[in-house]
Amino acid sequence: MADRHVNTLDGDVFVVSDESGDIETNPKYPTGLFSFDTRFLSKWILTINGERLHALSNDDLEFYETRFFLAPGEPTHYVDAKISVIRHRLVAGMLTEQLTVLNHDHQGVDLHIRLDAASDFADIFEIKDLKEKQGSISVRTQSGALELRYDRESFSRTTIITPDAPADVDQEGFSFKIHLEADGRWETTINVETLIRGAAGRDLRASLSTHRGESRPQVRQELDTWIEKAPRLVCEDERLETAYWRSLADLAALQRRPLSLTQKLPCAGLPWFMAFFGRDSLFTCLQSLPYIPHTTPPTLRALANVQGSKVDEFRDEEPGKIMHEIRFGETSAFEEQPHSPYYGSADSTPLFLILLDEYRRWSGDDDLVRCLEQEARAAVRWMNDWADPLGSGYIWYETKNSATGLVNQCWKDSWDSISDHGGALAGHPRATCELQGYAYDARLRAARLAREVWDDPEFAAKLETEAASLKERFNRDFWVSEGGYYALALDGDGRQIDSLSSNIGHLLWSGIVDDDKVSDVVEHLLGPRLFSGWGIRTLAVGEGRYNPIGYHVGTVWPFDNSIIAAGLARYGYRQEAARIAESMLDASEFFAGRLPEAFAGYDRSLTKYPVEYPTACSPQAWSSGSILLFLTTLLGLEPHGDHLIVNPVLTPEMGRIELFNISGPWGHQDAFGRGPREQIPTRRPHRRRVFGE
Amino acid sequence: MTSLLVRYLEDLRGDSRRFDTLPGSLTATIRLDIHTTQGVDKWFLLINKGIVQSSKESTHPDLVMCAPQQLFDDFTCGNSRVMPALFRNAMQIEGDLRLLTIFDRILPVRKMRHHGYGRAEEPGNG
Repeated sequence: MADRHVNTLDGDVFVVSDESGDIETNPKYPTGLFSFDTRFLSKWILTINGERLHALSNDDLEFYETRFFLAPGEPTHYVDAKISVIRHRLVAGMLTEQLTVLNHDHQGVDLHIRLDAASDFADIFEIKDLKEKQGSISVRTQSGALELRYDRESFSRTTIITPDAPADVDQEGFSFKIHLEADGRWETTINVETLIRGAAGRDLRASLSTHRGESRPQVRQELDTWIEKAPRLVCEDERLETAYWRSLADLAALQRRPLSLTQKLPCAGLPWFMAFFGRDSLFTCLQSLPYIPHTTPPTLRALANVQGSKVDEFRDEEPGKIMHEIRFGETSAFEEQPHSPYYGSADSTPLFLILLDEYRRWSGDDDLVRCLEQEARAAVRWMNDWADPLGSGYIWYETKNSATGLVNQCWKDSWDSISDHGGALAGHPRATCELQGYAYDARLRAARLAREVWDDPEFAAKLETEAASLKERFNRDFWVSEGGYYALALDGDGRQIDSLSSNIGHLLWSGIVDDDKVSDVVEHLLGPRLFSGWGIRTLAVGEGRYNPIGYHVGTVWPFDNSIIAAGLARYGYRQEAARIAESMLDASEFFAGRLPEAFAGYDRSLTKYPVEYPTACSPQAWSSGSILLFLTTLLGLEPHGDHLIVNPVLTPEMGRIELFNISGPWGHQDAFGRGPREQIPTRRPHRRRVFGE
Repeated sequence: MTSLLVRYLEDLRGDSRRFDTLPGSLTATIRLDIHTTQGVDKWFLLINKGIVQSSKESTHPDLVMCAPQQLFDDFTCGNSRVMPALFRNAMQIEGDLRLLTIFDRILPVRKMRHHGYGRAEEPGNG
C-alpha cells in the first residue's frame, strides 16, 4: 500500500506531508507546500537533538487544520520518550505551524530543536520528472526570517518563513536551543508566506480587486455556512450519512478563490488537480445542484470569461470553446505547457450549455441565462463549426499541439483510452460516443433556453431539428449491431472503435439512446464484463486493452458510475440505478466515506474490498459529487417548473432516507424515501477494513 | 517604428466598433500604460455593452495594464498572449482581472502566430 500522506488545504494553498508533518520530495507524489501550482516548500523536517519525530497520532480536525502528536525516535522505542511534540498545522491563506514541546520528565532538559526548510520551486508539472531549473534559487536570512526565492527573468516566487520565538537562522533552516524545566513546555508559531511577485515587487494577488485572502475565522465561517445551507440528511444508512457529510465538507475544501473572481470555484482534486478545470467543475456542479447550487453561477461566469475567442493551436483554442484547465505555474508562464488556459477538451462546451439549463431548472434563475446568452450561442456555434471539421454532424477532436497537447480530449484523457476490441488505438480525429450524447442534450437544452428565455423560437426550432438529426445518425453509425451496444468512438475514416465501455452509460444520461436499444445497453452495463460488483468498469473485461488497474481502461470511477446511474433512472431503470448506488456506498465504507477518483476494476468476489488505485486523487471533486448525484437519483428528485417531484426507489439496505430543505423555484421542500422493508438482509456481519486506519 | 497597438487604438478612437465576442451587458474601462523609450503612453478603452472606443482622455479605469510597447505589439499581432505574460510578470496589472480576457478579445488578431514563449514565428506567417 502507498505511504500515507496527510493533506491540509484551503483551496489556493495546500500542504501534503508524511504522517509526522514532515515534507521530503518524492517523485511519485507531490509532497510539499503548494500555491498556484508552485511548490514553495519541498523540505520541512523537524528534529529534536538530531532525531526525527515519530507520529503517535494525527487529528484531521478540519480540512484546513491538522494536529500531529509526535515523539522523538523510532516507533520501537517511542514509548520511553520523555519529550513529546504537538505540531498544529493551519492553512488559511498561508501555512501556520504552532509547535509545542512538552517535557514529561521530572527533571529539566536542554533541547536542540531544528527545523530544516528548503524549496525547489517545482511547477506541479515538474514533480514527476524534476529537471534542472532554468532560473536560480537564492536564500537569504533577515531579522530572524528565512527567505527562499526563485527568479527566472521577471518571474519570481518567494517563500518567507518567520518564527515568533528567537532562533538561530541559517541557510537551511532554524535552530531553537531551549531549556525545559521539569514538566515544562515551550511554544513557537511559524508562519510560511508564499509570494507571487507582481507589480513593484508586491504580491500579484494584492493588485487584484477580485482576489482576497482569508483568515482562519473566515475559513471556519465559510465552512459552517456551506454546511448550514445544504439540505440536511437524516437516514438509517450509516454509509450514506457518513459519505454525504464527508462529500459536502470535501467539496468545501476543494473550493479555490481564483484570481479573477471574488467567489470561489471548485478545484478538481488533491493533489494533482488543485486547479480550475472546465469538465470537472461542470460535472461537479451538475452533480451537486440540489445541494450547493451557489457554486454554479461563478463557475459558469468564470468559464464564460475565458471562453475561446481566437484560433490558438498551441492552446487548442477555438472561438466559442470552453476551456479545459488553467494553471499559474512557471511552465504555463513560459508556455512550456499550454495551460494559460488550455482548451483541450471537446466536452466542456456542450457541458457548459447543459449546466446552464440544468441550473435554471433547479434555481429558476433566468437572469444568469440572459446574461450568458452570447456565450451560450458561441458555444453552439463551436459545436456546429469548429468541432466538426469533417462536416459529419459529430464532435471530433484532434490536438493541434502535438508536443504538449492532449491526445484524448474526452473525460478518458489518457493516451491509451480509445482503442478497439483488438486493442488497436483509434486513428485521428476521434469522435467518442459520449461527446455526441452531450452535444445532443446540449442542443435540446439550448433550444429550451432560446424558446423560454431568449425569446428566439426560430433558433430553438433549428437546434431541435439538428438534435433529432444527430440522434438518428448516431443510432445508425455508432451501433455495433452484432454486440448490441454503442461503439466507443468513430475514427476519422468513420470506422467503429468497437470496444465495450462505460461510455455507453453516459448516452443514457444524455437521452440519445433509441428506445429499442435501451435494454441491450442496460444488460451490458450490469453484466459481468462491465459491472465488477463495486461499480461499472471504464472498459469491459475481454477488451484488448482491459486492465483492472489501468487508469481509464478497466478501473471503476465513482463519477462515471453516478452519471450512469442517473442515465439508467432517466430511462426508467430505477432498480438498476439503485444497485449501482448501493455498491458504491459499500465501496465508500472502505474509504471512510470519501470515494476516491478511481479504484481497481477487479471483480468483487475476488478481492472482497475495492483495491485502491495507486495515484488516485482524494478528495476528488466529482467523486465527492457522486454521492450527491446518487442521492438525487435514489430519491428521484426532478424539478418540474415550480414543483419538485420526489419519486424514491431505494434498496432494502438503505432503510429510510429523509432530506430536508431542498431549495429551488418551489421554495424549500423535504424529500422522503424508504427501501422495501420485507427484504432487509442481515448486513455486515463483521467490521470492514477502512483504508488509512 | 509606430506601435501596432497604437495604430489599432487610433483606428478605434475615431470609430466606435461593435464586438460580438464581448458580453452584452459589460460596461468597463481599461487603461493601457504603454511603456516606450519616450515615457508612458496612456490610452483608455471604453467598453459599453459590446461597443468599444479608445480615448486619450483620462477616466477612472477598472483595470490598468502596464507593459512595454513591444509586448503590447506582440499581443496585437498574435505573437503573445496576455495571461502567460501576466503569470511571468512581464506585464503588471491593477484592478479587475476579468477584463484581461476582454482586452484579449478586443485585439484584432483572430489566429495566433506563436507556438509558445520564445517560439514565435516570423511576422507575416499565420
